[in-house]
Amino acid sequence: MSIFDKLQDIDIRIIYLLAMISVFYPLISPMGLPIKIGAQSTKWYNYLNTIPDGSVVLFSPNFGASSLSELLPMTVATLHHLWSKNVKVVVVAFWADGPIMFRTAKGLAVPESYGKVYGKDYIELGFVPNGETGMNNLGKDVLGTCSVDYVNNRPTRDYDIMKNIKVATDFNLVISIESGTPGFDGWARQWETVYKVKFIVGCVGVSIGGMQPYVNSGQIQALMPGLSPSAEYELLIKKPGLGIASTDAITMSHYLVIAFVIIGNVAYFLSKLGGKKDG
Amino acid sequence: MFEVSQINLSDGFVAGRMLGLVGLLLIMLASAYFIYMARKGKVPKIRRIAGIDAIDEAIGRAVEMGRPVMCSHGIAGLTEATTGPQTIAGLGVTAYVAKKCVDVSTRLMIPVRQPNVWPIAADIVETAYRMAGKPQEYKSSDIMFLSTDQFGFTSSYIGILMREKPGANIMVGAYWAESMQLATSGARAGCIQIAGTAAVAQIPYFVLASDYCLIGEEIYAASAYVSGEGEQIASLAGQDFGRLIAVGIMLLGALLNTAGIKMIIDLWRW
Amino acid sequence: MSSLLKRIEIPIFLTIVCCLLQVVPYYFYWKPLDDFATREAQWMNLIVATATFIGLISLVQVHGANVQKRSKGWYFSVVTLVCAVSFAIIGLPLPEYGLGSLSYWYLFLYNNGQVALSQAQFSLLAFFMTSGVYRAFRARNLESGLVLGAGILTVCYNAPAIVATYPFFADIRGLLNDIPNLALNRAVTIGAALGAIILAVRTLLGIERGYLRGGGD
Repeated sequence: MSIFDKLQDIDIRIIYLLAMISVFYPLISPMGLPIKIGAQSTKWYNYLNTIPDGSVVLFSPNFGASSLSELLPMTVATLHHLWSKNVKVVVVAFWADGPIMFRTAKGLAVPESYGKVYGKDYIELGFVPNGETGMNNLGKDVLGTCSVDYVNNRPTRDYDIMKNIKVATDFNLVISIESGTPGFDGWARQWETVYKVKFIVGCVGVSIGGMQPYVNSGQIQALMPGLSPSAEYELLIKKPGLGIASTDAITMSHYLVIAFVIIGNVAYFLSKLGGKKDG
Repeated sequence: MFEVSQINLSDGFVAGRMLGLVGLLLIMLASAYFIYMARKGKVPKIRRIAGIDAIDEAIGRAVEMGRPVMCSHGIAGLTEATTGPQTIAGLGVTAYVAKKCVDVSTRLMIPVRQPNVWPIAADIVETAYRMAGKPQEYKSSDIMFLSTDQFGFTSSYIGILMREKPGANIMVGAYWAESMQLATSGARAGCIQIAGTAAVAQIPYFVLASDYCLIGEEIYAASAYVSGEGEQIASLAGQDFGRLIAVGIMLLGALLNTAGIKMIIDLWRW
Repeated sequence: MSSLLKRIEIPIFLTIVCCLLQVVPYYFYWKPLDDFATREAQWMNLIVATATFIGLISLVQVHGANVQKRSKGWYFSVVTLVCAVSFAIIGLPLPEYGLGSLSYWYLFLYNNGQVALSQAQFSLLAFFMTSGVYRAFRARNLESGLVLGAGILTVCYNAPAIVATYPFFADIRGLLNDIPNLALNRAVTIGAALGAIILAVRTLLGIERGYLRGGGD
């Protein structure tokens, strides 16, 4: 077996080891590689910036523990942005893990540090089951679907914030941070089409392909796909956090992929060339 | 931009959904027509789908190797609008695989993520054994509930692939981020793999790491295709009718929109 | 009586009725019907919740047998069973006894067990991707050359430092996302939606029986 053949079939353990180093090293020793603020994060930032005072935002964390590392930075940054504004935030999840994910994010973007009061400026309504059917029910009857809150198990209607929130059209914006189903297509079918409620979506990077048609059709107003735009958004709101810390690792792991692809292809062509000469 | 519209839920048709309803009814009627024609003996011809044709080959290979067959119907439940039908399609394929495995007396393992799908999968396999006159060979422990957690399920599935080394790994249904891990692990375990999903983001991973791939709509055609029943096959012609409607609306919409006429866009708000 | 209950027509009939109860209110709003559909969805919650116990039974059946037979790696089955039972108990909605999903122990186990394990498994994707891309992106012919080209461009524009150094990759991202990717996604999505509609038609007409005992009676 020639060296070129070996380079076309590198031991999987070597690949895994190098992949691990390419992620770990920049996390342990940040390299300060450059970041350029892109169109997606700018659109998200601008969109949230234009929310008028007194608006009501439905914040929906629809993801679980597995995608926490990719979605937590944008969740935390978005919460910082929301808390800094004079808007009311209602938190409802359609994933069972959603309420816990929100609490994790809330620990890093503490609403009380912005002077926000639970029950007056924001409320956690917990998990609504049945996915898209649950979204439909919430749109028609918020108090009936979430009769008690998640934190105190008290009747939702007793809270100040809920005095004027009854149906979907009482919300000015939906922010859905999600990693699967139910998610954007449910919002499009159950809320955007019927009630014309605008929504923006934060998702894992791999989902961008499926969501792009909804962005271009104007149904999703802004899209935040994955860690890189999250890092850019952190820069925009001047709250560097988990996203920025991860960008060096993202770049290095991509460099490694490019290096392996080049090695594989160069070895392939050189071995073909060698084969022709031998023949 | 953030204006609040008034809720419009008076009794009657729901605004914004009428064009969809008309399209749905047209497709359903077309499908019903083709089914009616099939009952009269006119069954349309459909193209071969390599991935479905390969199921028999995959099971045969597992038998030759003396290894079990692994068949998964995806990780979604039955109730979601976009993923529920994929699970039903996956269960249709499971039914076919179960019959084939029972015929050749090969062990069939079914990993399950959703507890409410477990009884359905178990019923399918048990019926296959009963109908073949081998009820005593059915083992409910081979219909394995692994975990409701996505990656708990995935790690368990990978563990089974590596320990049991099935001859064939058939995955048809809704999958998310685990698709690449499952397909790559199946390849490493030496399985012949047939994978299919309508989850657009996951199709490239299945194409990359499996031997045969069912893309999007092919998974819905699978159960009709393997059934061999004229009525079911005829229903697929209704799908082509729907495709014609979709292409027609797209072309018309593009032309009218270019000419500055927003008729089609307004129709969607109907 | 029991043979009557085993007849396949009953689940088919129930499927059709339940399907229509969800589909009709989507297009046509009539409050009593809509309320009934909501109630039906709540029944579904009960069924799904009850099914969780079936899952637990299956789990005990499989892992209990492993422990009993001292199969290879049986001690992992012990860990699985202990975790399943303890998590189920700690998650009981009894806050007055320090239990429930907001209790200290639940959050402790969730954040230090579930989160860590799930993220570890999810992050394995990076390893699978790196090795998969290395093997698949090889210009063996024109088609694989195109895949290689598109793949490399995608990798480049997803690396923050590359886009910062060579901003034209951002334009390439826009181009690829907005044209070929969009066209492909729409085509596959429309095709899949049509397939799902036809599956629903077959189900409503009762000719799709694969999911019901494999069509067997």
